[in-house]
Order: sequence, then structure tokens, then C-alpha cells
Amino acid sequence: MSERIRAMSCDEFDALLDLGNPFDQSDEARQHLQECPRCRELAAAFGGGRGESLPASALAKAQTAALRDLTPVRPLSSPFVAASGTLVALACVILASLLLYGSHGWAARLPWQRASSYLGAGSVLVLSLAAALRERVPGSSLPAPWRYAVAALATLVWTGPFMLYQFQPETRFWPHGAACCCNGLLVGVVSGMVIWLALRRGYLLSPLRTGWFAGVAAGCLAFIVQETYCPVVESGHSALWHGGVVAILGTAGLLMGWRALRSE
Amino acid sequence: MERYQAADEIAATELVRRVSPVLYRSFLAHTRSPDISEDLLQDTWIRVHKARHTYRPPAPVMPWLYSIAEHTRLDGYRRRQRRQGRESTLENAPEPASEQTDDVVQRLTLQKLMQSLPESQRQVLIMLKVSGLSLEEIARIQGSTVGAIKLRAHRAYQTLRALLGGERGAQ
Repeated sequence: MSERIRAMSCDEFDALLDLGNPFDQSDEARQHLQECPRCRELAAAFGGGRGESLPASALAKAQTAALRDLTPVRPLSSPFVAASGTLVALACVILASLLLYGSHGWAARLPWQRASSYLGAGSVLVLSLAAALRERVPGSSLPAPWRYAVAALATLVWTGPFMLYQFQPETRFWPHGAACCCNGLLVGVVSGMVIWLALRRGYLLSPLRTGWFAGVAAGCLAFIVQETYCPVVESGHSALWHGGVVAILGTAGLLMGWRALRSE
Repeated sequence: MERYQAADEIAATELVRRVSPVLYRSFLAHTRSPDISEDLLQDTWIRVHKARHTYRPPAPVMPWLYSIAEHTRLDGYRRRQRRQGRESTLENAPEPASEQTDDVVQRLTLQKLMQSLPESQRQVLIMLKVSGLSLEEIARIQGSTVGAIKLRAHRAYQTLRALLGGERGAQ
């Protein structure tokens, strides 16, 4: 049987299948059904697809589940309100951190290094925050390619310092680095708490993903603060002690999400 | 849904009555077990109840509700996998009754054929043909575009058409 049958092809018939039952469609569709046994069988199989009836016991169970302890609830705030509130709070965290630690790193870096590092970390921060906020509402998750893009960019933030800065063995690599990392973690934890305030009512479906996005966003904010205050311009230091904060907080977010999932 | 959020019992009952058959049919198409589908339906409504504040009017209800149902189904599947080591196969599906109406035969044929489709195509086809969702709603639930969903559906139609031809040839 050829795929093309007079007025209507099988492909055109498929387009009708997307809309509903083609038995109720045009004369051309009916003619196609008469002449193409495969499409007829396909349409007949779909025609019976919706016939299953719901048992009364199942409906009763569903109603009990839906009506248990029924109390009024306040809907989530709009994405715009949640996003702008969180961004303002995070901007305050950045300001407070810079007042506390200073901004010696700004002058120590070349303009293109500053631009690259802020642009990279800033874009991951915005994307992961948007992804985390969208996870609050079921059915609004960021499309998969965007989620992969966030993961890829987050890895770039971690490895980016190797492309931005030269490797120069540092005399106080461990003590200086550990102190820098602790400062970054402190900023990250505070940012994480701010983000959690925005997400706390809406991570029900994908706590793992939400936790990871929130952790990465907090880590990126910490990375930006570290790059601004830390005067050490060296690839090993930046990758391990600055980029490491993104990895640590991303993992911490993932673990918190896993814990929320287990306690469900 | 807004009245459900405001704790209106009548509205909630009506919502459950209208949506449950769609969800049940979808679960049944995936699991082919009425018992598991009943449990999944109940679990879904428990989750909907917990998450009802996350619905934001005037967004369409079905994509929101169906996302919760899909998560419940996948969680249930993982739980059963852990418990049994494998999902129920075609062999231990309930035996069809000896006297079947055309409608039942068609439904069983469709269910059987759909098992041979890849998971992504099967999901789209169940949402489209069993639950009766629109392409736009499915795209929203799947976090994808209408074009991509159409493509998956059309690939599924082609596979099913070939399978139907094969079955007819074998008979």
C-alpha cells in the first residue's frame, strides 16, 4: 500500500489524529480511512482508547485524599515578585560581603578577566535562580536543554579560572586558600538561606533539582564576591578555592534536596 | 481550582470527579493494572492536596495537575522497581475476557502496541490519545515545544502503523 492515497496522505491524516478522532473529520479523511487499512486500524485503536471507566472505589479514595483536612491556602507569589525580591536580597548580601571583606580583587584583575569571570558566574547565577524559581510550580520547569546549559555553564565557572589566569605556585596556597574558601562558603550559605526563603513553599515535585539549582546559584554569588575581594590572581587558587565553592554548594543543595525527598 | 484553594468542598469534589477518569485512564495505559492505577490515582490526589498552593490562577489546570500525576507515576514505578526488580510485563497483565466488545479489543490492541514504543513517544501518545490533552498542554508538561511533541507523536503513529501492518500480515 503506497503512503500517498489520492486527496489525503497518511502524513496529513496524522495531523488530524493530533486534533482528535478522525472519524468525525472531513470527507477527505473518511475517504482516506476507507482506502487505507493501516490508518483505519490506527484510528480504530485510538477510538477505543478512552473507553476505560473509573471504578467507584477509586473515585471515593481520590475524593478522600483530596478533601482530607481541607483548609484555605495562599497561592504562591508570582514569579516576578519572587525573582525580584530574591535578587534585591542577594544584592544586599553582595554589598554586605564587600563591606566586610573589601574589594581588593577588583583592582588586581585585568578588565577582560573581570568581565569574563563576572559574566560567566552572573549568567549561571541568573539561569540557575530562574530554574529554581520555576521548579516551584509543577509543569513550569525549565525545558531540558536549558537545564543542561546551566549544568554546562556551572562546570565552566569551576574550570574557567584556568583559562583566565596564569598558574603561579603560591607560597601560602593552603592556609590562604582555606581562609578564602571559608569566606566564600559563609557568603554562599547566607545566599542559600535567602534563596531557600523564596523556594520553601514550592519544591515539592523535584527537590533534588531545585536543591541543585539553588546551591549552584548561591555558589555563583559567593564566587562573584570572592573574585571581587580576593587579590590572588592565580588559576589554581581561583579554580580550587573560588570555583570549589560552587561545586560544594551545588552538592550541598543536591544533598538537601535528597534529604527532603527521603523525608517525604 | 481557585475554589479548591479556598477550601470549597463542593468545588474540590467536582474537580476530583472530572479529572480522576482522565488520570486513571492514563495510569492504566502505562501500568495496565487497575490496582496500581487506583493507588497511583490516590497518591496523585494526596500530592495535589499538598501542592494545591503552587497552582497559580489563571494558568491552565491540566498541565499543572498532569505534572504532579507524572511525577507520582514515575515515583511509583521506581518504588515498584525497587520492590519487585521489574515492572509488570505483558505476560502477567490481566487476561482479557473471553467475550470482548470491539471497543475492548481495540483498547487492548492499542495498549499492547504502545508497549513497543519508546518511553518518550508512548508518554506523548497516552497524553494525546488516552488523556485527551492538547499539544500545547503536553508541551507545557514535558517542558518542550509543540513542534517537538508533534514530531514525537508522528513518529509514534508511523511505528504503530507499521506494527499494525505487521500484525495483520502475521494473522
